[in-house]
Amino acid sequence: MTDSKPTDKRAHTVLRKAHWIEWTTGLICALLVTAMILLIAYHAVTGSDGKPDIAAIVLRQESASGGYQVFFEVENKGMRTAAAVPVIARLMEGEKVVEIHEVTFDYVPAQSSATGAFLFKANPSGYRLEIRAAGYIDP
Amino acid sequence: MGGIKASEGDETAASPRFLVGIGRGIGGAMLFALPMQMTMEMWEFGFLIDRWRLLLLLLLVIPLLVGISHRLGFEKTFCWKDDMRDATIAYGIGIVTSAMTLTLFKLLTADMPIDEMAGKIALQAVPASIGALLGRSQLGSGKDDPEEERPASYGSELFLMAVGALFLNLNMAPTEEMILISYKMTPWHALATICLSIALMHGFVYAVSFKGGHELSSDTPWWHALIRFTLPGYVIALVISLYCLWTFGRLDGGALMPAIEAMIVLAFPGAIGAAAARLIL
Repeated sequence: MTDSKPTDKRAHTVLRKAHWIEWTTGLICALLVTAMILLIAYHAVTGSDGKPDIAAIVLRQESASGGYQVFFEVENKGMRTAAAVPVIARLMEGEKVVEIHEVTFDYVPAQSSATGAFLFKANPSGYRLEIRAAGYIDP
Repeated sequence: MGGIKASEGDETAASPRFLVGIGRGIGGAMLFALPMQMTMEMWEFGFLIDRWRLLLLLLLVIPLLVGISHRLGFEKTFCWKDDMRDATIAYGIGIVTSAMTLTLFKLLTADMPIDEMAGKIALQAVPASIGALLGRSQLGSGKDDPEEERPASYGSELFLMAVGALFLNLNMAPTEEMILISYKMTPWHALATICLSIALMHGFVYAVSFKGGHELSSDTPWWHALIRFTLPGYVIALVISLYCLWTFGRLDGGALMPAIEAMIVLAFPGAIGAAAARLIL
């Protein structure tokens, strides 16, 4: 593996043979970059035209100072990221809305999830709780 | 310049030269860190950033500064003790200048919780301290010190690339634009970004190798440099961009593909920083 032959044209060039560590490092890095390119190419071919697929689910609730906290998760199972996702929570008693709150997530990335919490004055256990993601914009 | 009166003796010359070094350090800290000190996200991350991740970043900076100091530094250093001293001084300059600038912009006020103040200063001190050390080489006399040029080993070439990548990444990773760009891109755009990153890096690597340089002779095939320098440099840029994104919580809750795409976006400036660092530093 001689990559540098002695030459007197360039007096400042310090000539030395490449150490085997340089080639080992280089080859491992070449493999890593190739693997990454293949993975992205696979995704490009199979699923780049997907759409966001968002759903909100309640995780748990706790009492907090001055009310109740309901923790929830928004999951995007789609292949595209959704931006500015509003999540609306309503406490319902029959058809009557007792409390309504809204929070907005800046982003819910593709195949990822984001978490947050709603703060209610009334105890959600006594009512029907509806949580849903109400829309998104393309980033 | 104080250092010029060196003929009066080593004792009297040493301290003005050291003071000039400190001055350059402060200049470097301001020059390199002001873009971050005037970025909104960086103020917010002062209290938002996970404390364990901030601690890890602050600890990782120490060996990084010692390593930079070994290559550049306030004064020519010959042993690790001097490097440790210079790194400590640089960290100190970084902390003091960050605190000063943040106070000047009324981003630090007396009624703030101590935790928030410490977080804001600590985060800004990282780029500022790197800038303080780089200021020595960038604002220094350069050509007046030809003996400063040291033969670079392979490891130190890669280390310089890491410093260059980290510097540009710290500038950009806190901003929301990095993830926003990655969300806008399709996988095809990501592939094109990888190719362009590697091509640009290779241009720099090739340029620096023949600058009168010290690594490759003119009859070395181009792909030798690609495998031995460009690709390891690009992988370093990728790893550092992943680390920066993680530090600023940009990967939390995300899946593999969005993380890889954000990493590629941030590694684009990182790759240019890494390649340019070999040319500049």
